[in-house]
Amino acid sequence: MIYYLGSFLLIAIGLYAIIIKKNLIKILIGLNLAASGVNLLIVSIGYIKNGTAPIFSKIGINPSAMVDPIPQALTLTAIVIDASELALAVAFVVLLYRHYGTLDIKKIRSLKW
Amino acid sequence: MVNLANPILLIAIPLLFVFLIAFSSAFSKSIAKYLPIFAFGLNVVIAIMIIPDVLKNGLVIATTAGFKPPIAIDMVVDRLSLFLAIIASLLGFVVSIYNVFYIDEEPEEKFYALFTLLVAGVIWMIITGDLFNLFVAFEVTSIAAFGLVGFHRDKGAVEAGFKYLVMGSIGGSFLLVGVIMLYAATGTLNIVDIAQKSAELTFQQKFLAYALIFTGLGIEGALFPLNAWLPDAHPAAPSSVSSILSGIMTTAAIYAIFRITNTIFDYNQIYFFLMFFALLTLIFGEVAAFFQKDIKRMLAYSTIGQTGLFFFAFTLHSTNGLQGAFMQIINHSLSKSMLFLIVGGMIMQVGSRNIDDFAGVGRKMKVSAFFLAVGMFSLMGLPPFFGFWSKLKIIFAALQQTNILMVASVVIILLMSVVEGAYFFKLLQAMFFGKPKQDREIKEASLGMLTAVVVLGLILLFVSFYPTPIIDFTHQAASDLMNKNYINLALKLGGL
Amino acid sequence: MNMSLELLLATPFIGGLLTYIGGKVHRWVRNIFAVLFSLLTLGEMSLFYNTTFKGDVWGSLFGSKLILQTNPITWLFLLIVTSISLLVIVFSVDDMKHEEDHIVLDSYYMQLLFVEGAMIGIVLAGDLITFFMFWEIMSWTSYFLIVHGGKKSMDAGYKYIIMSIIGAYAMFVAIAMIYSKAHSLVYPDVALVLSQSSPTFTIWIIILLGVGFFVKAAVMPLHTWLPDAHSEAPSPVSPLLSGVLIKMGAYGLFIIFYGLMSANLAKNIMPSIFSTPVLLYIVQWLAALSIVLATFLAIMQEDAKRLLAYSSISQIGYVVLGLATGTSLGVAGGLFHALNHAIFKSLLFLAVGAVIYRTGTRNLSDLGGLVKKMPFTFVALVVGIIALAGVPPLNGFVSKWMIYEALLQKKEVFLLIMAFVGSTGAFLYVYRLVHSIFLGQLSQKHENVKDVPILMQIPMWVLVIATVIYGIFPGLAMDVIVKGMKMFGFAPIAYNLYGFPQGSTMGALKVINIASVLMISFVVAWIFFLLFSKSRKVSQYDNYAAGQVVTPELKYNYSFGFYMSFGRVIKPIFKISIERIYNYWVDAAKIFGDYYMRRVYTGNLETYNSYIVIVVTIAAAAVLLGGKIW
Repeated sequence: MIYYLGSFLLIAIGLYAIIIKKNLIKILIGLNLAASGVNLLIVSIGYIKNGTAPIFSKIGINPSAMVDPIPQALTLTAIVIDASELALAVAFVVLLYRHYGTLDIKKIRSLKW
Repeated sequence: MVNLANPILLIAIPLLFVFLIAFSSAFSKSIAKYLPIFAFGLNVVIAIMIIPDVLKNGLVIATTAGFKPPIAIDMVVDRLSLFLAIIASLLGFVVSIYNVFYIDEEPEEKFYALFTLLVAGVIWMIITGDLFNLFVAFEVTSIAAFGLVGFHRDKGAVEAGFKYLVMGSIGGSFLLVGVIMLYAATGTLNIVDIAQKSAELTFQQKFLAYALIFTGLGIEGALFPLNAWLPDAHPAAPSSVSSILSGIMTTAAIYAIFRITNTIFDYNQIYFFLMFFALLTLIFGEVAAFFQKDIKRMLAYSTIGQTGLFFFAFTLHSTNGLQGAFMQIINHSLSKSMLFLIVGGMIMQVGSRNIDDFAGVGRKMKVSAFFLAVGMFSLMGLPPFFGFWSKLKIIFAALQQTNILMVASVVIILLMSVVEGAYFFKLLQAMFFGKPKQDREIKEASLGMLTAVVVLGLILLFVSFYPTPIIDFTHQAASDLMNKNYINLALKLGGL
Repeated sequence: MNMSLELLLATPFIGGLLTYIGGKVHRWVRNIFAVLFSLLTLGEMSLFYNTTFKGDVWGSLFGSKLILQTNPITWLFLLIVTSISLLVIVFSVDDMKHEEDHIVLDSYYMQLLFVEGAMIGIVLAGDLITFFMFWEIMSWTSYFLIVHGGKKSMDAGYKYIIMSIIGAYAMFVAIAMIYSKAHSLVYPDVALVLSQSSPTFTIWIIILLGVGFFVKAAVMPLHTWLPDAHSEAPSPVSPLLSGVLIKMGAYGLFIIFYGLMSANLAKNIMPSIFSTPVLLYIVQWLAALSIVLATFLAIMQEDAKRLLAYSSISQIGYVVLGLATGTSLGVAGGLFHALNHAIFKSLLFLAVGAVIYRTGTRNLSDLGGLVKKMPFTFVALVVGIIALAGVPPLNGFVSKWMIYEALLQKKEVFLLIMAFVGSTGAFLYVYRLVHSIFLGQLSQKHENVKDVPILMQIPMWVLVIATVIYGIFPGLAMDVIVKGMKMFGFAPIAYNLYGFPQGSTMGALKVINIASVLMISFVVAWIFFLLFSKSRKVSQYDNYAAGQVVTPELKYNYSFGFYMSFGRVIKPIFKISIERIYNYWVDAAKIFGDYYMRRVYTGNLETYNSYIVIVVTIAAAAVLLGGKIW
């Protein structure tokens, strides 16, 4: 339960940062917080207390005590995606700073209506 | 012998070419230009080879890694996803030809790699059979699109790219959370399997996930008010990219909503909720388009309006409505991507995106302007062009239920069509009859770019004057979707 | 399957494309093709003339068949469409020579033929979808004919196309409503379903379809596009628009009232006034208002083509007034007037076009004294205005007489008075036309004006002859009209070649007698004039004004603000401008759209992100509340 709560809290903090913060970098931090929250959520879904790794290495492991492997695979994929997104975003921020000379999102609104 | 009519190849080939293109620059600079043409040429051929199978069985399933679904990742192609995949491959092919003559900015090979990735992602999103793959395809498409929108690296492009990225990432996160909630509830990711198992879920369990998935896909699918990135991103991107973004990418996201809603969350009241979104999208898109000064921004808002229109047709939740939606998708994909290609060529000649500067261009660029007019007429739904048949179908389908809500929505749709006519005719009028402003030498677009335009234009004209096969095909696709043949056939053909 | 109708329909479209391609070879190839194909269409039309085809299937859509059909009424309209189109194309050959841009001319002829084809399609349509399809094609092809460059024509064309689209979509809703009830759009099926449906439904259908037809026919509250479009269009196009295109609205009204709704009208689903169903009565009033107001507006014009355009509104008012009476005589009069108006209004527009071709202006106060320079055009114009004013020997008289007679029989006195007022007003504005252009003082600029080339004269000759023939032998047209109306369930009218015999339901009319009486009196008067003439021929400048000798530089006769004093009398009417009301609403909608709707896209990323979060929250809340937010 605590995992769910924690991950939703992370997502909420991330969203808060995205909406409220003016600084581009902080927005990105917010994005990443939310993404981490999601990843945590995924892992915690498959988690079983005192579970074991889902590998048939030793004989005698009870399959029902195994942690669900699929969420972990999903998380790995999601992490990769988040990382690449973040890299691209940081590149954009650098370019934005060059063009606008500011990191304030409120001032970066040449495209509107 | 390897069976070439395998849906997996539709994704595998472009993805392979993405890597080839990325590495090709080590050997030759110019080869990267032509690789996407081969990739999507092959794709079109394969997609056409799948047609007989799909027509025979109604559904083709391809699995990976030797497992059986639901464990394995599977690609499911039915009539609906097949025709979308064909359109995507075709647009990819045509726009690749256009790109060769259009893109003159470094780093070219990265552009081509991202472009191929974008179309590959779109096709992936269309033919995937499980939700997590949908998420991955969604993200692949998005990341490629973020990069391409910012490709010019000027002020507007970077701003648009960044905004798109932030909104797209939020959308991706929501989509992932939604998918995971479904997984937690049912223990599977396969769409058909979820549909089977979600019957015993409570309303809240099911639809909380739906709310998140819908929001996530709605951001990419340009539903109001989640579409604010679109009018920025389309004008900022190179025109060939806008063509793909507008022609098939938003459509693919909407398709995903269609598919998921219809297969898993088929619940009558949800359609009212969706119709609300559809009409808002339509109204805001068309009204905003009317006031634009930037030609590409105008087309971008018009895309929002069109999306609203075919999403509305979908929410009618009847065979006729779905058929209208599919026809409108074909119409929109062909016309709008053609318009973006033409406008790209015109902007190269005029040197500006301001509508006022386009006065008199139509008399100089005759072929382009002719097809521009055809595309716009088709979008407005004037006969004898294809848009007329689709709009006819949508209106007829809407008025099949004669309640006051439907009549009101039809009135809204037609009013918005008038608005659409108003801004398209304003542009056409300036283009054909206006006095040219500057003495700039305006020539017809280069032959290669024109080829791409003419191919799309001729296809559009062909389906306009001979719509019967499309009408029959979409009718079949619509009744498949309505009758849940997707689930039934998947179960029958061993999709599970 | 009989291919003749498909052939008739396809000829102009194929011809248009070939003409366009021909233009790439040489301009004469193009011109010859254009004339040839319109001639071919006319030939095919006359070949099949007055034969009845029932339900030729030419395609299918959504499982329902698309059907072409004919009845005598369609042949009447086809006659108008094909012959006027041919004349217009012949006239264009010389008139449009000044246009240097090749592609503009190539597409001009293509569009002319397309418009012709679309109108043939409308008339031949046997189901509502075919009708609507060609209706839309007609709208956008004619738009390209109206706009030909210049700010004014662009504004006019824009207004035209937007109003056309609005009208067309109103029709569209009606058609879709019918389809949802009948699941078929073939006329007999539609008529059957409508005869069984509720009055509210029928009234909605009539209103929605009526809006579409009223826009095209330019009946009063929806006429605002016409004066601009007809006057700004190139001179050969104006006759096509005014003579033929607006008649499609009249044809549409005829079809809905008497083809689709006849059973409803007969069953008296609505209360009736003066034995007319109330809806038709309203239509009659709208038409009568069109007649009077448009006549007044025409009187006040300074621009020859604008004057004729307003006159078109008032004349189409007669057509609609006749059609809406519901009696055999009135409907026949309306249809006949549609034919007559097509002939004489085309003649007038061509004559004015000829003047514009030679002088380059259509401003009435700049013209004058052209009678010696352009004698033939003068004759054509005089014949046209006599017909328009409804003076006996020519065709306008007979049809107007029929409409008056029908109103008289129904004892609708107010409408009759309004129709009379319109007719009298017509004298005023047509006199203005002939006076300001041809009589009076010749402007020095126009010393070297010649009459127009022969290719432009031929169409006018043809129309002059047609005006006279239909005027003296109204029976020629009545043949078709009466035969056709019998198919729509009207009682036949007694008629003969020269008019209407004694003893029929109305008074007798024998036009040939009137014509001969007039002719004789005219000859007598002329003889008197010759014999007892005390006048002496003087030069125009053998005159004085304010004590000064007049010279050619001075304009000594009245030509600007000709009816100014009359204008002061009718001024209060023009304080209310329908166009201003429309513009007000359009502006209001624009402001609303601009300031309240477009500005949702603020350009601020935070706002956009909060939209997303709001949507998620609302959606999630809706779900958690069990989906019961409505």
